[in-house]
Amino acid sequence: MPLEPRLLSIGAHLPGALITNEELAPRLRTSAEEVARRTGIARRHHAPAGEGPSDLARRAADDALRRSGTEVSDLALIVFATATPDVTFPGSACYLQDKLGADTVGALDVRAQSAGFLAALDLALALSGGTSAFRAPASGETRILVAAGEVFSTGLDESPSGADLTPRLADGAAAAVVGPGEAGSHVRALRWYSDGTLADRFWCEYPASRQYPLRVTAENLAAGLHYPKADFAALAPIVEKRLFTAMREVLELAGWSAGSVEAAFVDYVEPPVARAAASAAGLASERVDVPTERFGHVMAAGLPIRFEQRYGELAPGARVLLAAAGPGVTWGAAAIEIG
Amino acid sequence: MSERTHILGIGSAVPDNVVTNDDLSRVMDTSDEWIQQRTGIRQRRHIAADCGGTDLGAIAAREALASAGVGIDQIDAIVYATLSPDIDWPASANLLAAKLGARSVPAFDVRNQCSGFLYSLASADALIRAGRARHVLVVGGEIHSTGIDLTTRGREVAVIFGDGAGAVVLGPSPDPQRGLLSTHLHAEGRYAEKLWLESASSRKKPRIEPADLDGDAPRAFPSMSGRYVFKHAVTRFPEVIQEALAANGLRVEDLDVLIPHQANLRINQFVAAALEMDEAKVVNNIDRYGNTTAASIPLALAEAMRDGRVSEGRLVCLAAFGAGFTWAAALFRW
Repeated sequence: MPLEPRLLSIGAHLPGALITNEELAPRLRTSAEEVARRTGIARRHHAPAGEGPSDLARRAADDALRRSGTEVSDLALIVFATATPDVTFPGSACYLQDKLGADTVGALDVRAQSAGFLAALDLALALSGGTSAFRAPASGETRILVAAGEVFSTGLDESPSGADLTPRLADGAAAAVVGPGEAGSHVRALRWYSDGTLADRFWCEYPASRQYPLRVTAENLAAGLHYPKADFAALAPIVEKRLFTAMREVLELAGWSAGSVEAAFVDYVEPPVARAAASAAGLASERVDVPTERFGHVMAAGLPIRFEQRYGELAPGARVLLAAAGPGVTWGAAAIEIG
Repeated sequence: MSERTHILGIGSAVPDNVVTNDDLSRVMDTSDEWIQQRTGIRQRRHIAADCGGTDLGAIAAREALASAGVGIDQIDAIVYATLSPDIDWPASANLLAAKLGARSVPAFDVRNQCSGFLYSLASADALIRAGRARHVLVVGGEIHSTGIDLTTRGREVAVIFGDGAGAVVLGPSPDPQRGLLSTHLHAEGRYAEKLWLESASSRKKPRIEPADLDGDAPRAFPSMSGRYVFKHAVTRFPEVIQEALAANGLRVEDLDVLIPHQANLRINQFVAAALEMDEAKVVNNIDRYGNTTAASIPLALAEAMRDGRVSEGRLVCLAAFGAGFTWAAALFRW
């Protein structure tokens, strides 16, 4: 009977350039105070010129591999969650695979937006559990590298029409090693969901293959249709309810009371909505951490980046709740017991 | 050991608009003879009005659900394999789910180019066998025609690709001896830029701009080093097929049907010869559909199921090689 798969280690990387509201506001023809008031965000990180999510994830992966004593040759698969891949195809997983020198290990890009890390973790746990038809190329343990990374800074509307969304979306990456083992953190419950009827409330429409005869034209670009757009007012009540429900569900599945959760990372592009959902779920506000407040919304990577920053201070047995929502609309939560 | 999964139903959909090699030679400097000789393609389908891969995918999915006798309410996850999503984000799986009236189940895109369908199948199988789902809808859908350069400048790539979608319902196998035996997934990212599409690209600022649409080698159209792709395909295809057979204690002689990704007929013929396989055991339909990337295997599988080449008890191998580079195989006892 194979050992149940666990989260063996985690790494993260926030790129060096820290962009404050003071730097961003003039281009958007607003003030730093107004940005802070509307978004609840003071600063975010932008990747250096020429770097994509695979470059950021590479640094996070190096840390995750080292911390679990995993050699690149121990890996059976790389799963990369992103909405902003290095290039349109192939995916960032292939680029990361090359940067790590991972021989011919399989590499897979998944797109689930802000639920990306949860989706990739869910898949990695399923693939490394020894129950499926998947055959790891090497004999021995099936360790899978889960990466999440975004570079939004190269695709944001830096004119006044971007004032509401541009300060919120940011860059960064994280990586985790998943595999069977007695050590490592135990994912007690994980559930994630989607509702595509709300896709056009928070999206980046272009390039759009469905447009005949060309997926993107100069006219589309001139109209700014290749920039992200969001209707926060329409989404807020729906997202708050969905986040709350997912958190309650995983708490129940794990058999945990809200009060027993030591740290909750709840991520959404509008921090007050994340906090309201957490509060409704019974989580004490001083234990609730909203990654977007600290470094902007890094879609798939926000949750694991913040989790990594706190990982070392959490004692074995500590109960952690991860939850996120975003475009799709996708949302989900995980109850993780530190190992 | 948890019960095997199997393909319970299949569906397919292609646009009505047929584009022949002669049609292409009217807009670019090429010929029917040249295209057939190099690729084996006679015609492909291109959309003729706004249409997403998920529109074709929804038609294919409904057919798959009906043939499986499974309702959309029984679908616990939706995996959509594509390199040509309807929109940039969110994932097209979300749009497909909405079109089908699905419950709020996990729905995500797998962005793995020509191996996307097999990577998605492996993922769906894993979710089912880990107890996270009972029935998963796996769809491969592509609208290539709006993203290729249909001029002489882009002819090397443009003549190859076609639009289409294929869908399967994966669920518990009705018979423990039958179903998906094993899956094998590989990649080699050092060859990423031998077959790639740069723009939109998050590693450059701006990620997409008007200059990407023009010039001698526009970044917003795919580019390919054909010789590299051919050379690696004819090595990796036999390799991963042998890997799948060996993992189950079987040999090439035991194989009843091989359904390779339809990238190029010459590659598939080369692979059959390398494996010393009778060509009659290899399913090819690239002559009629071109390279439909993530849709190519389910489109070919649907045909083979309809005409009885794939039938109960047969040993069937699905294999793919493509951009990434990525390659994969899935072995079924049908």
